[in-house]
Amino acid sequence: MFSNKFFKFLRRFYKSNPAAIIGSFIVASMILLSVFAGAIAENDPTKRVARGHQPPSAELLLGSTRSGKDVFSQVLHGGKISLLVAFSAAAITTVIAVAVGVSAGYFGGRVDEILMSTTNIVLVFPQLPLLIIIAAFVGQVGPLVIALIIGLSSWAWGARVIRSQTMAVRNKEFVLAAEVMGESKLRIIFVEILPNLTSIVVGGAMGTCIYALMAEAGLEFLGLGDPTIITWGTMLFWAQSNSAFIVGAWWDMVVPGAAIAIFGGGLALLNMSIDQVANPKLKTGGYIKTWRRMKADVEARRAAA
Amino acid sequence: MSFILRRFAFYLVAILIAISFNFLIPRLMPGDPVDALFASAQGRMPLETLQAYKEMLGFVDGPLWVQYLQYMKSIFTWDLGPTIMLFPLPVTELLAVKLPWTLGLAGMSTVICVMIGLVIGTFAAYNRGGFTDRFMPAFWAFMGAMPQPVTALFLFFILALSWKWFPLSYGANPDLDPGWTLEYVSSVLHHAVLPILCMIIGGIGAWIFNMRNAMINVLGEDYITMARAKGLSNRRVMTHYAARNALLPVVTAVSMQVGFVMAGAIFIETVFNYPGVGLLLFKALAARDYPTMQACFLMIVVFVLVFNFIADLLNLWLDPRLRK
Amino acid sequence: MKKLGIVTAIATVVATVNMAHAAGAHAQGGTLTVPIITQTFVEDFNPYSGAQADMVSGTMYEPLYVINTLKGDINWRLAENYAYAKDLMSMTIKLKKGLTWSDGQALNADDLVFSLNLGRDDAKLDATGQWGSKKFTSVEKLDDLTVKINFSAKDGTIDWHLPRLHVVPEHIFAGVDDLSTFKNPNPVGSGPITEVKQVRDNQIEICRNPNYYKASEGLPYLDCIKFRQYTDNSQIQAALINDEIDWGSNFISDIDKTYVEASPETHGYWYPANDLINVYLNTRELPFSDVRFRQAFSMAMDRELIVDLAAYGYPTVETQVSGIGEFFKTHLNDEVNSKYNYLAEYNPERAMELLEEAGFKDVDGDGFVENPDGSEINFDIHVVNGWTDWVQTVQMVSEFLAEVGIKANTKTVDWSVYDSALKEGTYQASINWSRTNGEDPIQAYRDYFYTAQQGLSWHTNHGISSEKVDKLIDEYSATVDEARRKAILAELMEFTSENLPFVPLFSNPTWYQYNATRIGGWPTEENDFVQPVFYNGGNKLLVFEQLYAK
Repeated sequence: MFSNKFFKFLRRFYKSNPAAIIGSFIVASMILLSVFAGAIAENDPTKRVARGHQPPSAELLLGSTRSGKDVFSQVLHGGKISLLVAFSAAAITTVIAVAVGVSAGYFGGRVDEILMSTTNIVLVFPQLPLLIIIAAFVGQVGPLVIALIIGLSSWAWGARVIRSQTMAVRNKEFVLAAEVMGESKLRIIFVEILPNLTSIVVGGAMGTCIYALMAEAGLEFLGLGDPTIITWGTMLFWAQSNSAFIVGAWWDMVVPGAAIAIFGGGLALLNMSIDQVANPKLKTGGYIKTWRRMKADVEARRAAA
Repeated sequence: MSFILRRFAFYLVAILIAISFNFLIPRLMPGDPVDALFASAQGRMPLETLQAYKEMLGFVDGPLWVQYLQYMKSIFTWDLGPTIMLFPLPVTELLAVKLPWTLGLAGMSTVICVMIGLVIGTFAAYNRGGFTDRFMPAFWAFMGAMPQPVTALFLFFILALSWKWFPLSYGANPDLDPGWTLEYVSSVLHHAVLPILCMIIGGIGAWIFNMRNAMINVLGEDYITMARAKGLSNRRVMTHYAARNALLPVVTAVSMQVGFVMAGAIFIETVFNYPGVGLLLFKALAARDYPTMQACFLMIVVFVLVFNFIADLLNLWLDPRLRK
Repeated sequence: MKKLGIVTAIATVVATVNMAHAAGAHAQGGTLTVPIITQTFVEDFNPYSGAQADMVSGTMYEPLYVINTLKGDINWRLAENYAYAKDLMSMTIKLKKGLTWSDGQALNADDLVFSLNLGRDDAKLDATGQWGSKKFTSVEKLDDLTVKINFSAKDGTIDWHLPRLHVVPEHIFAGVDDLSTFKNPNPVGSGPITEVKQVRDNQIEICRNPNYYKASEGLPYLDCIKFRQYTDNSQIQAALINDEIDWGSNFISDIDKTYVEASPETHGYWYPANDLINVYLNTRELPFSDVRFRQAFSMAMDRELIVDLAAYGYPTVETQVSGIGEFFKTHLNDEVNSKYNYLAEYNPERAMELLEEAGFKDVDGDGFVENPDGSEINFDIHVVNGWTDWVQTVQMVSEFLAEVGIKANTKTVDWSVYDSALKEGTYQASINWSRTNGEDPIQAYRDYFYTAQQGLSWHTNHGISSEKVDKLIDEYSATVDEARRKAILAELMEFTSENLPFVPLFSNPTWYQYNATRIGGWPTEENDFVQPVFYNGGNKLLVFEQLYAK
């Protein structure tokens, strides 16, 4: 029964929603490629397998880096870590945002004031300089620490949005009914309120994911990450240190950049499609065509009448 | 009125927290500025003079809380001390030179993004299901997800280095004297094209998307239908009813953006040797230049808060509901 | 008769004027554009504040003389000569006659005494470092052109440090309260380029000295130097390629393809060897305490490949282990080298044999050897985060070590960690420079082994030192006998090769690129009149003197 409802939901979601289809495809395939990197890429990403800066060819699908390592292999293995960082940061952020937002929205009063003041303050702190300073403070930051730092500093916006949505739901009748019935606060939150926040939470998580991916790449590009660990960001860092573009080895830099762009874009598309499901007014694509056709029919009938 | 006062008080608290954070973090960082400076001198400074410099730069001060009070005092008397990497140049002088460039960059690119976003977003909203509506947001989502350093380097390599259409570095031609002459101003604009282009490519996706959604939401509201029913012209409906209400969430977004944009400019400034604050912050970090770092961070925070405050004021003006 | 006299007089005048121009081999005029890495320019021309040292040292304030290590001779500038007293307890310096500052005032012994004494009371102004190290006791003026410096102990090496002295005008600097923060606007200098034409935050232009003491020779040929601001190497690379600057002194990637190919007739470079880069090993602990391990380490390195891949082939591979490099090639000792050169050859089989002999075997079968006592070998090689060519070098080093069964990791650390670990001797292995590009090779050995340097220098705390070596080093500075000095060096080289406290890899190149589109006279491999080090005031001056506009 669950699978039936689930598949029905999926079908509705994907029907004439090209953004969702493309987005999911991209995200899913990149995750799969990274997870199975070991099987797909034959070369060890840390081993020197060719001369430096060889262009893409039959043996080296995406060419080699300055120190002769396989770019294809690196982008797959690096994807594992980059994606892991992005997802972990998104997870941390989401958990905190939900906890703060729902508590503030549901309990109101003092709790709300305290939580909101804190949120507002964290909100106005400019993210990137903060990240840079903390990253430099900790010294040399591995991907895990980067995920942690991003996770701990990006929850404010999500918390605010969740709070206002919680407040809107809180006064709905079914919630009041549950309270009157004497259901425990925790149960109300998890069973009545949270399900109604799903689209915002998921949307927020994806947004954070994209942001975390870019922030991680940015930090590592500036040299604040650990250059001996292979991620998309450190690939960019090495490409830049070896002046990839100027010496004509464009693949060294374009490949990790494209990886980030494609994955980020895929997530953004998914995000947009979720928005469209939550707010059908925003839909675009097939539906509109149908609507126009129907409208034309109606007009024609009216004219004929 | 009380709304404004409340917001103002809030921002004041935020600034104080920023100042305190600002003070603590650099002090807890590993690394000594003078030793880092020695590194860049590649062994040109004799060992004996090094000790003397350490003392001069004052790293034998009193306990932490004494330094804190001293810091508070110097902030409010606008004496932020000398920079270390360009000793004895005062930090305020250095910042005063760099700030206008970042502001200019951030400001101009935000304005252009907003305008283009508005036009395209409105167009997409009006022509639902059309090519623009389906294609634009998605396309720019991908372009925006391309890491900024890569786009910047790409543009630098093709347009500046290879085709030589645009200059490689600086905010303006170094052979020209700064001033409000036509020559200088056009040089500034010429040098700003590539950096702004980068920022636009990176940011416009979000703008188009937000504008479009805001527009669509507003167009579906009852008062729009009412206005049309009343027989008002399309133009009037668009400007007086739709745009004004759609602007509200957009204005908030703009203020949030500026802070992000100012900070994000760091990559672009690095690639194009653009004399802004972001680059300064990064280089100051590398040199462990505490006074400069503190000042940069504070400057960025203050500006973000100022823009937030301006957004609040604008909201007040646009939304009469808040005036009660 | 009178008419003839007048004509002769006029002719003589005309001839003299012509000679003034003809004396210089080239016409005057033109501007040199040079990059400086900094955040912004400031109006500070004080050599003692160090703010914009590269703009003023050498070209604005000339040194007493320049020791040209490449040619093995001395280029006399403000000084005419110097002489040590027989007992080596003092030396006298004689200035040239008729020197003037750019404002016309005379440059004489008063200025020299003043400049020398600056360092006595204030360590920040001790450019030569000899007050701080307690070598100088006093300075006296003997006459208008001669100065005597008295030493605290016998020392024949002071002449190496004197070129670092900034000779500044007493009539300007004497009235200043705090010389280290003095900005020195409207500078008065002794060099060829002293008049500040404009100061902007991205460009400073300084022009010809109206009262230059070498003006009669038609020098300098160029009128002005334009200093342009950049924040890192890749921008400088782009500017060089696009002919925006004339002289580069930084690392450029793939220079043949990106720079030379763009314009082969005018774009060129020359990378003569500079200081030696070594991997220092902490010999106080296992496994480095066994010299055979260190030797195996050295033989496991394919230096050619490291230079090729990690550093684009620019550095010079090091082929011997006696402690100094190509820079001092005239001092290399063939006898010593022929005994130990094999240690610098790529020989992984011999390395593995040596490890076995010394008892380093792979007991647990993981592919890596353990210590003779059975404990695991797994050490970190320190390198500073961000120095990409060195990081790549160290990565390759650990890869080569792995091939002979030694487990090592590349550990990128923050500068402060790197710095203190080297000085305090708390590292396991660390890559670093060496003092092998000074005025004399003894400085390298002093830096490697002198016990009093431990804790102060990066290169002394590897655990190997001896009283005998200390004595030899002291003896070297107390004598001026060439033969004795050579013998001492040979002993020190033997000591170094035998003990191998560090593994030499390659000699850092002197980064030097030139652009002959507008300017000619550049030093090159064929025309090697001086080591083209921009960051050394004296060398910079010697190069600048030869440049002219095409």
